[in-house]
Amino acid sequence: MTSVALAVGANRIVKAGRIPHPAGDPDKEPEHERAWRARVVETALDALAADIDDQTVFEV
Amino acid sequence: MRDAVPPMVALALKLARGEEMRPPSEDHYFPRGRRRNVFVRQTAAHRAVEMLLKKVRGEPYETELIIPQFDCVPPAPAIGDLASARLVVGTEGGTVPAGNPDGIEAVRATKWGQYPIAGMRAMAAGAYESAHGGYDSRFANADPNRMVPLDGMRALEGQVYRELHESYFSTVGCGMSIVQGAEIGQAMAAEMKEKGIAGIVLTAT
Repeated sequence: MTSVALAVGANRIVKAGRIPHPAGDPDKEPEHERAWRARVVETALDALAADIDDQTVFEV
Repeated sequence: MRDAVPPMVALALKLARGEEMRPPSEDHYFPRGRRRNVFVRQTAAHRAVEMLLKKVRGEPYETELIIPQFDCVPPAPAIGDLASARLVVGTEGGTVPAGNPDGIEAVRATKWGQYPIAGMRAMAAGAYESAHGGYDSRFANADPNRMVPLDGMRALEGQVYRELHESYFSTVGCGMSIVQGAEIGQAMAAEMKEKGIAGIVLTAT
C-alpha cells in the first residue's frame, strides 16, 4: 500500500503489486509473472541507487 | 531544584502509600503515553462537540487521544556502487518457514526472524507460510516469491548487484505500533551494518 508507506515515512517506495501479493500478480501466466517480478526488483534496485532528497515513489 | 523536589516527594509518598496516580498534569510527572479507561458522565459525542467548540472559540482544550507522530527520517544516501554491494531481501508480510519456528505473532508482532536462503533459486511453495493476520494469505502461500521476491533477486545477482545475503528478514507488520516498528527496523539495520549489507529490498502489504 503506497499510501501507507508514504504516511509512515518510507523514503524509497516502489509501487508494485497488491496487498496480498506485493511482488506478484496471480492473474498473469507464471512465466510472465516471474518476468514482471524481476522488473519490480530491478526498480527497487534502481531506487536504492537513486539520489533522493525526499520521499520518492518509483513506478515499475 | 527547589521547585522540582516538593512535587517529586509528594508523588513518591503517594506511590509508597499505594495511592492511585492522577494524570501527569495533576501529579506533575512526565507523560508516558499510557491510557486508562475511566467512567465519565458525558458521551464521547458530547465531549467531542464540546472540544470542537472550544477549539473554534480559541479556548484551551485537552485531547483524549493523542495522534502518534510519525518520524521524518532523512533518506539514506544512495548506494553508489551497486555492482559491489551485498543486499538482503525481506518482508513485513510475515513469510516464515512452515510451522513458524520463532512464533512470530499474527498481529502486534514483537519479533522478527532471519531464515536461510543460501543456494536457493526461489522460494518453494509449501516450505513457507504467512504468519500475517491482516491479509488473505492464499496468494503468498501458493507462491511465496510474491512476498519475498527471491527469484527476482537471484536473476539480478552478480549482474546488477554483487551478492544476496544468506538469509531473508521477516516480520509481521499487522497492527504494529510505531514504536515497535521503529525498534524492529533499527534491529534489522544493526544486523545489516554488522554483516556489511548495503541495502534491503523489503516488501510491504
